[in-house]
Amino acid sequence: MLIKMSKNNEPWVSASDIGRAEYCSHYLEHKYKGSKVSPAAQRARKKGDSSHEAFNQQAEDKRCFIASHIYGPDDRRTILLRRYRDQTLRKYFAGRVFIAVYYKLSPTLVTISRKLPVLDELLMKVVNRLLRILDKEHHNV
Amino acid sequence: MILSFVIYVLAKLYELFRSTNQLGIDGSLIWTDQGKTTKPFFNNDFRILGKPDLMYKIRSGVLAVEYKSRNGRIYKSDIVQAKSAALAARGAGYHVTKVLVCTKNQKQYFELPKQDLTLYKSIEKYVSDVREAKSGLAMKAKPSRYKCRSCAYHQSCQFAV
Repeated sequence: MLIKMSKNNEPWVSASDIGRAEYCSHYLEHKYKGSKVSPAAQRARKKGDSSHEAFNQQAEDKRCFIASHIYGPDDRRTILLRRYRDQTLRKYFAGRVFIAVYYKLSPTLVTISRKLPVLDELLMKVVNRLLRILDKEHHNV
Repeated sequence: MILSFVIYVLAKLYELFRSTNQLGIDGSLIWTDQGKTTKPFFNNDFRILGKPDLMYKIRSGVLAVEYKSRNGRIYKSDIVQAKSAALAARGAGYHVTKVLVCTKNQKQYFELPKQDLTLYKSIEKYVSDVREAKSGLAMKAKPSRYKCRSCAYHQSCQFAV
């Protein structure tokens, strides 16, 4: 029989806060008092979130950052681009280098494009153009 | 000089290419944190919630991965967080037997105790600290240059160095 360690009235604690307690428990005092987070920390958090997203997507190898941002991760067009990556680009050294550079740059590009609609439009034009070429090739086969 | 530059560029390309390889884990991916849309796990016995970044099915059970996006070493707080997230995942029925903590250039595996209680005991002190902080008690500061520099409350903290 499992021994209940915590009473029902004890507050829930998160894993990240538990880690923070080891780092510096005074941080938690600031957090729960509602102290102001520095702008540098806010920027670092956003960067960290983007990096986490990239890391997790890398593990799934569903990475198609820009296409996922424009169309959604499971859109037919995103899947087509993913297939092109796996069946064509990966075969060649230059293709693999391109993929590596793309994965390094695309999270940052997506972060910027969320704030700059101009970049968003440009990315959409480039990806749409590529899709038209791929669609054409796909129908010609 | 040109040769050095070429070697440098090739080394950077190799590092770039190599760093996009998967973690080299001998197992199958069974769970991914999708961000804000993914709910955390809850361990009702210890009132701990959390979610690892990834979970893999491995031979001995489940491996939970905690990723830190910094370059550099792994800190004890990362390990404590990883263990806490693993305990939360156990509460949801995942038989987490090992954790992997990794930064951009380092990674370390840790075996977990079989018993949830033993795992909890290893983080109990920090869990108590969090509960004390939540209840409004003053908490001890551990100021140091490298910690305070990256702290979100650096500007508001009287102890910051």
